[in-house]
This record gives sequence, C-alpha cells and structure tokens, in this order.
Amino acid sequence: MIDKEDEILIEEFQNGDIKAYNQLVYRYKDRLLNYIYQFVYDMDLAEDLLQDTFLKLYTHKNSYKKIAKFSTWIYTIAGNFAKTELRKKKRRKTYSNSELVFSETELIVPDSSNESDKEILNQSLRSDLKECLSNLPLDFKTIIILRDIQELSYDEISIIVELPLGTVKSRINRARLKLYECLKEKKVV
Amino acid sequence: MKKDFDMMISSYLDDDLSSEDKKIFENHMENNPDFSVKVKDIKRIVNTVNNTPRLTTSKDFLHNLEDRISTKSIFNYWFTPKFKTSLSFTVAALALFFVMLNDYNVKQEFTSTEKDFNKESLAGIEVDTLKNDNFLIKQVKGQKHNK
Repeated sequence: MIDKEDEILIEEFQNGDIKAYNQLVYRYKDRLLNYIYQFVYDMDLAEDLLQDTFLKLYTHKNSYKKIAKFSTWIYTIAGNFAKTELRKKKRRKTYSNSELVFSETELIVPDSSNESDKEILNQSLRSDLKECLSNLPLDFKTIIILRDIQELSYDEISIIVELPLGTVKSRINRARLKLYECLKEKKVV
Repeated sequence: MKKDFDMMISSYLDDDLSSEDKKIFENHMENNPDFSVKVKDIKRIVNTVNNTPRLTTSKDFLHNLEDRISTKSIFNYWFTPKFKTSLSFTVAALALFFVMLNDYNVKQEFTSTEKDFNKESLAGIEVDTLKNDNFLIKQVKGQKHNK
C-alpha cells in the first residue's frame, strides 16, 4: 500500500475524512514529540503540547493552505506551542535542574561496566552536549534541532523559522560553532 | 579573495559547497592541522546530535487525544451558528407559546370574573345587572331602581 502524501491527507481531512487525520497523527506524533521535547525537556509536558498541536490541527484544519508543505505548517504550530511554554516558564521563574537541563530519566546513570571506552565517551559527550544545547539562545537552538535532530532541509527550515535561506545556513554554522566552543570549555572535545 | 573558513565548516559538512570551494576548503584543512581537528570535532558533534535517542509517545497518548477531541467537539457544537440558530428558534417558539398560553388564561379568568361580577354579593343582597337598550335596570331583590 502506497503511503499518501501529507498534502493529500490534509486535503482529505479538510473534506471530512477523519481517517486521513488519524494517519497524519500517526505519521507525525513521534517526530513532533522529539522536536518539542528538545525545548521543554519534560516528557509529560512535551506530550501535552503535542496534544495541543494535534488538537489545533483538528479544529483549524482549514487554516492550512496548499501553498506551503504540510510538514512546515505542523512544525510551526508545534514550535509555537513549545516556545510559548518556554516563555511562560521564564516568567514564572521556577527553575529547577530537571526543568532546565534534563528530565529525571536523563539523570539516571546507566550501568557502563560492559560498554567499551568509546561508548562511554560517547555517552559523556551526549550528556555534555545536551547541556550545551539547552544553553544555546533559542533561535540557534531551534535551528540546530530542526537541522541536526529533525533532519529537515534548509528550505523547510527557512519557511518554519521565517528567515532567508542564507541566514538559516549562517545560523546553523554559528550554532554548531557555539556548541563546539561550549564542549571545548568542558574539555570533551 | 580571503575565505572565512570557519563560516564554511557547516556548508562543507552538509556537502553544500561548490566543487571549487570544496577544493579550497580541503586544501586549507591539509595545510592547517588544528583546523582539520576542529572540523572533525564539529562533525562528531553533529553526528552525536543526529543520533540522539528518539522518543516515542506513551501508550495512552492516542486515547487521551481522542478524549480531548470528543470534549472539544461537544463544546464546539453548542456554539456553532447552526446550533445557535436552532436554539434561538426554539427559545422564540417557546416564548411565543407561553405568551399565548398566558393570554388565553387571562381571558378565561376575565370571563369568569365578569360572570362573578354580574352576580356579586353585597352585604348578603344579590344584585343582578340587566342591560336594556335605553336604561340600565338594577334589580335588587326586594328593591327596584330605574335609572
């Protein structure tokens, strides 16, 4: 069975086909969860925001116009929810370590007795990398997440963040350099 | 023209340089070992970010989403134009019905009051009021008055 394109599914949903909506949810739920999670670092909150995203898709399906790709539209909605939540958190100023950097599961140190040195180093790098990523300015962080985690193209990212292509490429480079500088300070690289 | 090689790193890693620029860049890496190490480190960082463990939604996620959609649908129905119109008509029809019902009851009451008035009792004396063409005869039992 050939998978239908996103744009066909959303059109079908706009015409009342609820199965098309379900397919879109299945297709994007994990992807968007990973995207939102990188902003909030809280699994329950990320799922709530993901539900908000799909609820908005359900109630505002006719807001989508064919001129843009569906993926850029849904990523924009998800990103807006995540960033709004971040702004609320900053205003509340109720920081704790787990909110800022890691979720509780991330603080659990896995048993590394059977792992190679390389794997242990990688885990250490991943841990420090996560901290450095969370400390990036929001604009840089968004772009790194979209490019290096979500693996979207430059064109798609350009539409989502509403910046020219050249600016997107420049920001990706600067974001990666910032990560490098941060990890170098931690002497991980 | 002097190249900003730091600003070219990402483009090189993403294979987004022209063939000419790519040669210049690789040449620069060969001649600058520190820079070459930097590029490799950044490549490693990008790969590590790329290989971040992927999360999946909880098993309750779809069920919870379905619940929220159902709640939203019921709520939205109450406020749809279609429902508001039909509700308005229903309320208007009920209001009209009650007005008419009230009007009927008032008339009924008035009619019976009128009858009662025709046979009112004054200090034990029954007064019958008879309407005549020219004069009103008040006939009081035991008394007769012509007006």
